[in-house]
Amino acid sequence: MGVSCGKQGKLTITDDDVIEKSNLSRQFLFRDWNIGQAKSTVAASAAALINPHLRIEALQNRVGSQTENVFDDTFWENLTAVVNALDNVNARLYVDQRCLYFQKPLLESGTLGAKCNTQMVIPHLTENYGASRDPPEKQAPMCTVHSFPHNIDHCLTWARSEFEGLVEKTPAEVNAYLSNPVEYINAMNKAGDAQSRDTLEHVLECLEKEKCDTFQDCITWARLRFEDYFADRVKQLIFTFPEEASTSTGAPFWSAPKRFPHPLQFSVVDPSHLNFVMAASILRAETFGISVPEWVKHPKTMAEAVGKVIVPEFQPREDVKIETDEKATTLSSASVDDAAVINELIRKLEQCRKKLPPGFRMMPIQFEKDDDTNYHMDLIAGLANMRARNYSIPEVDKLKAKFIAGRIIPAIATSTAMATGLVCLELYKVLDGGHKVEDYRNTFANLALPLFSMAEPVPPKVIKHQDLSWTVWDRWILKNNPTLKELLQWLKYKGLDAYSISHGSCLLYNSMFPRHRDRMDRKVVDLVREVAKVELPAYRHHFDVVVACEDDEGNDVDIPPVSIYFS
Amino acid sequence: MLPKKRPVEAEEAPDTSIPDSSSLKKKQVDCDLEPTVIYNKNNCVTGSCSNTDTETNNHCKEEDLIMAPGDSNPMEIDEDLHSRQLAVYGRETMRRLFGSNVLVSGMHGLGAEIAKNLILAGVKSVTLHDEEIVELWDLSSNFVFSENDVGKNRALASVQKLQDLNNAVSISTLTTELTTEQLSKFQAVVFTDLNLDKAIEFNDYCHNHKPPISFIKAEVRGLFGSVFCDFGPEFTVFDVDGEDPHTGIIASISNDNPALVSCVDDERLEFQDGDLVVFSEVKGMTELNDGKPRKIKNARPYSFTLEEDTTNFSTYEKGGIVTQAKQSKVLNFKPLREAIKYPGEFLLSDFSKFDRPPLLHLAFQALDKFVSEIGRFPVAGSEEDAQKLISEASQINENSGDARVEDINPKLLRQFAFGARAVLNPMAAMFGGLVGQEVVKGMFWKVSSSLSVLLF
Repeated sequence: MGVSCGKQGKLTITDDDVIEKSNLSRQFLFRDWNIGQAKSTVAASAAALINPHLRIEALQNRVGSQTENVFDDTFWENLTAVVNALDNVNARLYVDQRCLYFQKPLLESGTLGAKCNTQMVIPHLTENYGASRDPPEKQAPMCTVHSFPHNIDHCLTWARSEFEGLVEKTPAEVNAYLSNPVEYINAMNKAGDAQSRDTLEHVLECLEKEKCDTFQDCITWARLRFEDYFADRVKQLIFTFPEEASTSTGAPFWSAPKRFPHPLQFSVVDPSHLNFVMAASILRAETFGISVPEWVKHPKTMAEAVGKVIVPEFQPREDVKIETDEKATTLSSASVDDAAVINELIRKLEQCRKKLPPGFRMMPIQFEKDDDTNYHMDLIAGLANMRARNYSIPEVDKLKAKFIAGRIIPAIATSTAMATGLVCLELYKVLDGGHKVEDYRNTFANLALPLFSMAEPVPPKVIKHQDLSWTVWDRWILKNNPTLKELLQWLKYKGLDAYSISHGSCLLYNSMFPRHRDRMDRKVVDLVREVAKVELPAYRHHFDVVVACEDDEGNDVDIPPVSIYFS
Repeated sequence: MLPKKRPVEAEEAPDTSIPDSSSLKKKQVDCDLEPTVIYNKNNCVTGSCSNTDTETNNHCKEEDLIMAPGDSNPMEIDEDLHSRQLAVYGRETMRRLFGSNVLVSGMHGLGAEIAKNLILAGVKSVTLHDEEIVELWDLSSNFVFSENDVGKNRALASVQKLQDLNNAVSISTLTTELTTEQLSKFQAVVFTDLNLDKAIEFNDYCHNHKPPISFIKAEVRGLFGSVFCDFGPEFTVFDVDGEDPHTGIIASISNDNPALVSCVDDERLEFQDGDLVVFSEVKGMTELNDGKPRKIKNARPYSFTLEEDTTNFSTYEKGGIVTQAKQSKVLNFKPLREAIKYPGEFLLSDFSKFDRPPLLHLAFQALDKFVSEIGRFPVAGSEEDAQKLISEASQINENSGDARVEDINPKLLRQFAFGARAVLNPMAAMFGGLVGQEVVKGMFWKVSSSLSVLLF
């Protein structure tokens, strides 16, 4: 297209990510040999090859409130337009706020599988991106995930969470304790709550009862985990809530959507059982730094080793409390003697620590979904599928499990191409300038059907006062470093009586306080520095205040933020 | 409703390895258990069975995936590379994609974009065809050319850059005039710069070929574009919208005619009137668990009525899941020759311009006539050329009988004429995406409706 190819032009691109193999199937500026390199720099070089006249700068910063020293006021002010190619809503909202503030056109787009959409945000012509939000995604209640799953998503959510707890969080906690026992213990004592108690229990288990020194220990641990998850807990659940149980209102407890579970009977000839134990023991070994022998990968030898594990009998208990309230947000149940229990746990921990070899640490594992050889997905899929089996929920293959648990966003090159084409067509209009809102188009397309739906962007909401009107785009700007008196006068001319002025959360002026009248002749910027105690960074030339006003009849009027330029 | 379990799990032979870290081996195991999909038992030659081989012809069905004999490359899907794509298409479609040979004719911006999309998707081979050479102005729309390509044949100049996109795809070139026989080597052909007469000739061949060759003709002229698709006289669509089947958890079913089915109020139902559903796990009224699709009516957020007389069925006790049963649809695509005269329904993209498509249909036809009579495209900004185009369009309009357009909007046609020579990159990108997707759909992807003609 020739954008940013002239002497005055410049295209700035930024991305803090590096190239991965899975990007290559649709991000066509990257090649095999670019894997591991920074996305923005490679993209910039590839683009320059296509058109050597392109003036492009590649940065590697995330755009957000932390990088306002890189993307400072001057940067934003010099932009002609902003094109989004983001992958999350929060970043989009941030950029939207910035464009709103600096009055810059924003060309927003996104894709999901074969669907794509584009949205034009033009200063003063259209509503901004944040003006309409998608409804939040429904999250399953905790008790559903923990005890009453009814679809494979619940099982996968649970599996992912257990995975992280077992191979990442607990080993990390162990290390935190061992690296700094005194501090750690103090923190636990201070918190003194049910969650700390649970955490300590897990740490102690790792270092005491369930500590692994040999690979056989890992197998034992894995086999017992199987028993606990897929047999014992289910037996306990159906003991506490038998099939004919009823709720307090007399209705059947196990009514839809709850599914009545059955415990699994472990068997070495069931490959899925064996695979579970194998994946779990391999990862356990990794956390303890124990090497994995070759024979593990062979079913016969593995089955033999697993057969050696002694599995204690399980007896369900009467006094176990299982959370059934959908609104509950935590599983740790508080009890009166938490503090005492914590003390006891700490005592035992300290004893354990003394017996450990010096410098002993565990190795927490971080979930990496795209490496097919690391057994992560094997374990997660295994956890989810065994659980699904408990609840007679259809199981899924490892690939599907990866998509769901890894929260993979489906993406293909065609919808991406379509979205970019549409955005660039709109870009012509933006750069041409002077177009009315009717000329622009927001598009939604689903290449699968196919369906194309184009519509004019929605104008912003207008607020009126006397003969003034404004929208979310407006900012009332005062230059030349005004004093407080000058600010109030300026608003008076608009028929507005300002009674309260604040910067951030700090009140700079309020007409109720007589003392504030002393501030009338002070420069507002000085008030911000002294009263609000705000340090304005060197790259800032202005600041904003929120003013609460009344009109002549004493009605409140919502005015735009006021930007005061002091340099 | 249990999905197919992973092949390795099903085997209990003692010497089968549990999936080991050699991913290569694992994927081969995966594939081997589905022989009917991968290897056609009759070993047909790549592409559709040629007409001379009448014996094997009878065995070749549309659904069979056909591979060249002695092809040693089994259908491995590089799951790391294609994981995001797999999430959209599923393994089945990806495999079919991997066996497809596609022709892309016309290496302007549009052709390059289409080729790029197909190569990234990972088809078996892409053949690039173009008889012309690269000119300087090609660089503004075609991202694979650079200044030192000027003067070379367009197809040849494109190969290296496109090959870099995906080494697994074989890319070859054709630089001379195409013949219909050459088309038989491909499962799909895409033309981006073909005059109407030749297009009709090729389309006739493809449409009547057994099995039909997916035919797509697309062009972008300035800010206008058109796409025509013909997947053959009887194209079966297995899944009309590509979404996962909707499900619901049952709370109660009445004994009535028609029966009332209520579902739990955890989540709203997404069924629509006329959907077919199947039941499973129903306790009590177990007659419904027979897997027979039944139609529903009066779809509400948490209930619907079922076209079934359950008065004599056993009483509903508890449990049960209701799942949408997707029906396959058979589409009959019109050949180009017919579609020009009777375009039928255009796919609307912009509802505020709903009277545009018939007009643009005329415009594209007029342009084709202009080029074949005068031998070049209208010069940008030339009033004379624009007027000529408009008069061509009126002529075609007069002769079009029922499809006649009331007001031919000379202003629009003038703009069309001015831009006709240009290929704008964003247009190429957009249509490249669209056409790329249509090619995949022609490969029996789950989805697709009849995209016959789209004018933008």
